[in-house]
Amino acid sequence: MELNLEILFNYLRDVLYNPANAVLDIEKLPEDIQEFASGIQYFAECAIEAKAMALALSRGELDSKQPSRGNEIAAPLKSLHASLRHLTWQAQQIAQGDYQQRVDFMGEFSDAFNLMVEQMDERQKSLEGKINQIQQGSLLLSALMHNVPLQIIVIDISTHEILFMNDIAESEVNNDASYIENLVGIISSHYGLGSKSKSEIEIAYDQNGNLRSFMINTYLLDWNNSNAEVFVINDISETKNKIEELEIQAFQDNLTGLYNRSFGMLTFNNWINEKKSFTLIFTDLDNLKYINDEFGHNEGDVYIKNAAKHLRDFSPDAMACRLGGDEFMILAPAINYEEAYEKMNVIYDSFKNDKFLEDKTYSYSISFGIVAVESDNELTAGEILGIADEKMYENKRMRKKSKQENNM
Amino acid sequence: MKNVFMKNKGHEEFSWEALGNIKEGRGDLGEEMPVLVYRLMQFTMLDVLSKANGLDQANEYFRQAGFLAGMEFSKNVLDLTVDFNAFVANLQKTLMDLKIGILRMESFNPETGDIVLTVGQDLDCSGLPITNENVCIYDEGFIAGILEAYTGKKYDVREIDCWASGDRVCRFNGAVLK
Repeated sequence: MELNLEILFNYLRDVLYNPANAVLDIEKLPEDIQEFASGIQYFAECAIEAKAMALALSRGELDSKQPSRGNEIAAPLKSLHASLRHLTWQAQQIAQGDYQQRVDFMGEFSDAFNLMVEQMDERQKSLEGKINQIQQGSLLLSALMHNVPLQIIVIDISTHEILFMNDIAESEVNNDASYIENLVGIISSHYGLGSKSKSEIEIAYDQNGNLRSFMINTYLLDWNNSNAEVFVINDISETKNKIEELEIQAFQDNLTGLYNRSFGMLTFNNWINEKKSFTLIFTDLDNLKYINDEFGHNEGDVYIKNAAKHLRDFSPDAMACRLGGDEFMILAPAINYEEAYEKMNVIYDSFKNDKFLEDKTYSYSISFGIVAVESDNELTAGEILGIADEKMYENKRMRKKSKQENNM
Repeated sequence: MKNVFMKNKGHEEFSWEALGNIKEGRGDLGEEMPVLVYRLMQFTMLDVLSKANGLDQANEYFRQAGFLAGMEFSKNVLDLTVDFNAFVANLQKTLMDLKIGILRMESFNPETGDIVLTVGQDLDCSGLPITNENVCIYDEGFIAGILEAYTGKKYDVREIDCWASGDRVCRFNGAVLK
């Protein structure tokens, strides 16, 4: 009896501590305890299977061999196994974006899991809303960038690689392959690349002899972890040309093409204020009133235009303007009184001998008064003109007198 | 004397409408009843059919009845137009609300259509004595009917674990019939 008990005891010990070698040979036991021993053996095998399953579950192995059917000890573990397999499936669904998955009847775990999924769902919806907003903004930005009449170019500051350009910039590059390279060269030599976070610069770009003007706004930004600079380029060539045309129209005398009184007086006053040394020549056309009265204003205009042509020849540095009617003014920098006088005499002679006027029946000539304005001048423009006017009349009288004497 | 107003078919042929207006008919007792009564009818019927036709044939009758129930249940209770995940979620909720059982998906192969799912606290078997049998034959047909109603494919559904065989949940393996 003691031996039988020892066999059973050792068997139970092996079941607990050495299950791989736990063996019970029922046949060797007395017949009257074989059924009892069979019960112990079944119980032990159920326990071994349950332990093996618990071990597999503890390792997260959900595809391990399942305990035998009818193993009542392993039943709760099989229930847990079913729950874990279901949770695995639910986690896979959630990973695919199905946030309707919920865990039921698993106590606090259900609450925590379901709360997590609800929050993920909310975050997903929030993110989708933000992504939608960003996409709409991006679409709008893209539409704007490709439709504004501005060139937008983004370059890598280090490598000068083009990171982005809009359609209008791309068409420039298609027409001029070295466009960006030249542009970047001009900007970097004058202003430096990446020197200011934001700036507005104006550059002139000589494109095969066609001088273009660009107003460029630059911005620094981080572009995919590269230091980049954005150039927003406004081609102001046409605008500048129009402004120049308007300036010419505003400052030009329509009849003669010389500067008009406004621009002449503006320059005159500026030079006085700047304490500039220059010579002023005040010129009057002789006989204009007579010509207008006798031959008509059209002939008077011809007379005026021809005189202006001669006065324009005074000097390329000088500024000739028509003050009005038959009065002209020349402002000549870097020419002294004597040189001016000499030049005016040359103009006088060339005017008098102008072949264009050969067939005219009226006499034509100019009178002029010259005033040298020095840098220490204290007189006003009106006072200087007054002096020049007097000198002009003196010149006119002198020439008349000389003519009369010659005719006597 | 023939009643010309009575045009309803007899109850030998199933229709959803033949289930009647339970709420109105059971105004005081309500629409629910204990699981005991359900099982009493199920297992007495199994007893009678087994004795009359053998267990295999009796099980086949139960499977066919379950299939018919699954198809009608799907058509009349479930939304068959939604995507698979929404359908499963709806099915889980409906089975729980009607206290049929706790349905849990374990796997679904979208390419083959094969599916593994469990039903916990099953109406048919949870709490039965362990007899090393799979007793949820009616459920096999019921699930096959639901799957066919939704997918349009014929399914062979077999119970691979059952409370009566010592498990705590019933596990069903559904395979699309070629």
